[in-house]
Parts: sequence; structure tokens; C-alpha cells
Amino acid sequence: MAFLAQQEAVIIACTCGSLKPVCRTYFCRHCFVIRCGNCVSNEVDSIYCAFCLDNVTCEHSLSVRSHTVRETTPQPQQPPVSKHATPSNRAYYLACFFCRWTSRDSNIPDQKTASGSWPERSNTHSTRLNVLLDYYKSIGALEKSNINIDHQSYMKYLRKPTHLLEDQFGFSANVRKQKVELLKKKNLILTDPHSKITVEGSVPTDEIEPLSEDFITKEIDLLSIPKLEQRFNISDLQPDHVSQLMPYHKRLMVKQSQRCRECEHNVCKPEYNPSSIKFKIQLSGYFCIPEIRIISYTPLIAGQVSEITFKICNQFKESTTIKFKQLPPKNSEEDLSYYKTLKKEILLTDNLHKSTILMEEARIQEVTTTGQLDLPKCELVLPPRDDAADCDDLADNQNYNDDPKIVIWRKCNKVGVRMQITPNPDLTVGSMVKVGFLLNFTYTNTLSSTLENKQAPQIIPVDVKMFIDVGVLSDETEK
Amino acid sequence: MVETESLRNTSGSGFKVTSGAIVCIADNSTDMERFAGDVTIGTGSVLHPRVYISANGGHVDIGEGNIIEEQVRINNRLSDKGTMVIGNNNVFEVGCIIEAKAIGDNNVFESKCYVGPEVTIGNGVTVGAKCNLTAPDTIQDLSVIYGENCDQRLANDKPTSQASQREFLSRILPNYHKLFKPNKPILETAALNSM
Ligand SMILES: [Zn+2]
Ligand SMILES: [Zn+2]
Ligand SMILES: [Zn+2]
Ligand SMILES: [Zn+2]
Repeated sequence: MAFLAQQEAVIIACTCGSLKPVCRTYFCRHCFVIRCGNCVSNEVDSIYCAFCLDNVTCEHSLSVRSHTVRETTPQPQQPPVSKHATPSNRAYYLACFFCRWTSRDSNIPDQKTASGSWPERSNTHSTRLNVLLDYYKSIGALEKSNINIDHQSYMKYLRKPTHLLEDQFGFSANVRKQKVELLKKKNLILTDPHSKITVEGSVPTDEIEPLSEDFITKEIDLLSIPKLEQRFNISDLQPDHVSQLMPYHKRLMVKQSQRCRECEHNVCKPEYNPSSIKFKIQLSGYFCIPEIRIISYTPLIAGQVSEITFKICNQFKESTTIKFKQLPPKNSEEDLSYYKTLKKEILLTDNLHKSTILMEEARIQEVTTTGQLDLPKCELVLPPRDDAADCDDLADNQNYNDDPKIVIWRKCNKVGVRMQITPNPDLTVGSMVKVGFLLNFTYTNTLSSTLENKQAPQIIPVDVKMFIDVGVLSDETEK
Repeated sequence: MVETESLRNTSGSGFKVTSGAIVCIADNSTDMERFAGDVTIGTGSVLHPRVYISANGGHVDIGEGNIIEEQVRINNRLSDKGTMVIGNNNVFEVGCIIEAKAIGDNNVFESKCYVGPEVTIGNGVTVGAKCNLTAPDTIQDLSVIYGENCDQRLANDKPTSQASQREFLSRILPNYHKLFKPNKPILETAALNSM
């Protein structure tokens, strides 16, 4: 199912300007607009280990955990490692059930406790690395404190990778506060020119340790040589014998929830429990926006009329009425009003206690259509999704006043629609025929009726820009 | 399947089970097709139901204390019609296919692995799940073969002993399965089962 929907033949233009397939969009039921990954804010919900699904609940212990959890052995493919107790002296060692590596293979001493304070390997270059890290951090902070709030330069700043590294995920209010405090302290040091950190550049050397005499003549024992992948996993050591392989840290995984940037309501919120795949709030566009699929089309020839059949399917639990409209001319006011400017919260380093909200303009991804679709003028009513009706062969929907020229068939919440398509006459053979239209559907807001006021459910018309890659243009002679 | 035909013809001709071995028989007569040719099974070995052993290409000699799980196929396809010798205390997990030249002691063949006729297995070897060994080779003692690329490494110790599992099986299996009695010819047992 996911695969079918992920085919990028039918693309939706999000209100933020990016193009996404329907399953990659969200529909905010508070502002009634389409959202996508680019125009929601991501929040860290829970952090867990991908191998054992252990939930690391306390956010403060997070950094400690991620540095001490030893999940794996140095071999490449890693299932979870269990701790064995040998009954005699109750010493613990790490073992991998997959490749039967144990910590004894690498001469790591056994531990007295199961959680084990496994010895940390120290990097021989750690002091140098720390100096460099401090230096880069100071540069980063300096850059950050120098941002001009001028919008243009801010946008420029946004594109810098240093910024992306830090602001990849949204932070919860608590963490944000901590971060502000930290920045404050840092800033005090950094703005002072006297405490500016300087580093010495490293010096190249010509002296290389000579190879041993028998390096070429010695027979190679492949079983004792680690693979490149294994060596690079421990980049600071790069062991040349398997007995020197050491366990390395694994990254923890993050379970995120998505929030509408405009109204700050959740559009997607997964279960807190990392092993659960249920979603407490799931406003995927797939469940709200009528889904369009291409069923068949007659060969597409430049300048000639072909027939195309779509299947339109209502996945929402309320019925919807759809209308087709031509796309407004490019860059016209009407066209641009489809896209919305978005709030973007930023943290300012010079005004530490407040975050400022800037407006970010839609970044419109241009699409050029290469064909004309003859859109039906009539309205189509699609009944709500009913999983049970899908199995009922007798269910007949005769009470829709459909034009038989347009609607070829109907089944439950699905309808087959025939349209005429004319590829542009100047299109070359083999190029993609792309059409676009504005799909207007009604969204029934069940949220308002469930409240005490007992209103009739609000029905909101929503416009969606659809772009469809129909197929490649075929040669007239082939026909 | 080509082999089943020949299995049927020679069913149970030279099937020898040393007393103390447990050979489970699923409750139908066609199951007897599972053993063909000269097969010897040593003391303390446990064969689950639906194990297929074919010695049409030559004798199959299974040692003591082996555990052979369901759907395992042991097939002598040696080019020289020689005896396929399987040592002691090996574990053959569900669905593995063994056509090896010779197998030592204390090896573990994980689920769905395949060992081809040109391969000799030493002692204490672990062949990981779904690993296929097809190239002519002698697998060194204590080797571990694992992962989709059949990576190989050397373990420090031999795999953990399966003695307790074997003991458990020999206690439990007779309660739920018909067993092959070593003193009866196999065809008779088959007739009994079909009644
Ligand atoms: Zn978007
Ligand atoms: Zn874990
Ligand atoms: Zn491992
Ligand atoms: Zn919203």
C-alpha cells in the first residue's frame, strides 16, 4: 500500500511550495491546509534504542545514556548483545549471539556487575580533538551572535550547514531554556576579544614507520585481519588484528511528533512507547485528501486528444464533494495566494530570553505542465470510506446523478473518471506528459460538532494543486 | 522432486539405529520415505519428526548425541560414493540442508543453512542461519560463519554444549511422538503406523 501511494506520479503542491506525494503530506484539521515535512515543526517525543526498543525516558540522562550504552560489538551487522553470567564467579562479559564475539575475544576484562562499567577506550588524540572542537564551537557561536536580523541575510544564514546541525530537531521548552543559559555563558566569553581561542595548525611529516621485513613474504591469515568496515568503525584505533576490535557506541533513535507551524496543533503524534507503531494523532494527507490514481490511458500523441481514466478514492470518514478547476495562470495573484507565508520561530543569541517569530515566504517549486486536461464541469460526490462495504459486492450506488460520459463506474468510496488529455503539440517523443489541475474537495470538520454547541458539522472547501505525470509521449507512427 | 521417487524404492533398506537414539516418526506411513539407503544413527542422537536422510549416494554415518531438528535434509551426494561421516554432539537446526563431505564434533548448523558436497567441516564450527557454503573448502575448527555475506571469524571457544537440550528432548519427545524402535525393521513400523 505504501509503495502504491509513494509512486511519485501524482504530486501535491503543499502550501509551503514543496511538491510531495499524498502520503508524505499532512492535513491540519485546525487551519484546513495541507502541510508537509518542510512546514511542520518536528519535536522529539521519545528516544530509544533501535535494537532492544529500550525507552530512555529521562531527557536529562539522555546524553549520559547515549555515551554509556554499549549495545554492540565491533562486527558490522549488529543484533543486541546480551550479558552472560558465568555461575562460578558471577563475572559478566558481553556476547553477540550473531557472530559469537565475546568481550573476552578482545581481552576486555570481565565485570562484576551486569550493567558493567565497561572500560572506555581513550583516544590518543583526544586533547587535540578537544582543542579543535572548542575552536570550531567558538567560531560557530561568533557567527551566530553576528546575525543581522535583516530578513535577507537571515535566509542566507539559514542555508549554512553549521546552523542546520544545531537546529535539525526542535527542542522542547525545557531543553530550549537550558540551551539559552548555555549560550549566555558562552557568549560572555566569546564577545570578549581577549579570550578568543587560537589553535596551532598541525604539521605534516615525512617520517613514516618502515614496513617489517617479511611484510610481502609473510602468508596472510585472513581470519585475523579486520575488514575495512570494521577498522573504520573504530576510526581512532583502526586495528590491524581482530583481537584489537572494540565495541563501539550505537546511536539512539528518536521518535518524533509533527506540529503544524501555524496553529501549533499536532498533525502526527506517535505513541510514546517506542515499540508501538500506533499513532495517537494521525492527520496524514492520505486519509483526508481524495486520492487520485491513473488507471489507464490511450497512447499519448503530441497535439492529439487521448483518453485517460483516473480512480478517485475518498479515504476520509465523511463524504466529500469534489470539483475540478483549471490551474490559475502562473505567478498570478490567485496562484500565489495558494501558497502561504509561514511562521518560523528562531532563537536569537543577542536577545536571550525571547525567541522571535519571523515570517518565511513559501519556497515555490516550479512545475511546467506539458499537456491540457479537459476537466469535467460537474461535481462528484464521494461517499465516506467504509471498510466493510469493500467486501460487499451487492452494494450499489445508483442514487448519484452522474454523467455517464464522465463517471464510468462507482464502487463504495471509489469512482472511475474519464477525461480527455491533449499533450502540447511542440512536445518531443519520449518526454513526460505532465498535467495539473486544482482539485477542490470539501472537508467536513467533525471537530466542531463534537463540542457542546451541537452545531451542524462545518463543511470547508479546500483547494489542492495536483500535478500528474501521465506518461511518455509516444510516436505517431507507432500507433 | 526427483529424489522422492528413488527414496520410495529403497525405503528403509539399511536403516540402523543404535539403542538410545530417539527417532521420532510423524503419524503417517508416507513418512517412512524419509530414510533411504544405509543410514546409521548413533546413541543419544535425537531426530525430530520430518527429518529427511538420504543415503542413496553412499552410506550416512551419524555419530552420538546429535540433535537433528524438523525439516533437516541430510543427503549423501559425494562424487566418490563414499561414506558421509557426521561426528558427535552436532546440532542441525530447522530446515538446514547438509551435503557435506565430512562433519566433525560440536558444530552448530543454524536454521536454513546449506553445506555443499565439497565442504569439510571441522570441530566447533557455527554455520549461521541462511548461510550457504558451496565452494570446495575445509572449514577450520572454531570458525563462525555469519551474516548475509557469509563473513567468517574465529571464535575463542566452541559453541555452548547442547547436552541439557538433548536431555530435555529425550524426556519430552517420547510423550508426544511415535518413536522408531531400533529392534523392529522399519517397514514393519510403517505398516503398524498405517493401520
Ligand atoms: Zn509544506
Ligand atoms: Zn538497546
Ligand atoms: Zn556480532
Ligand atoms: Zn494548523
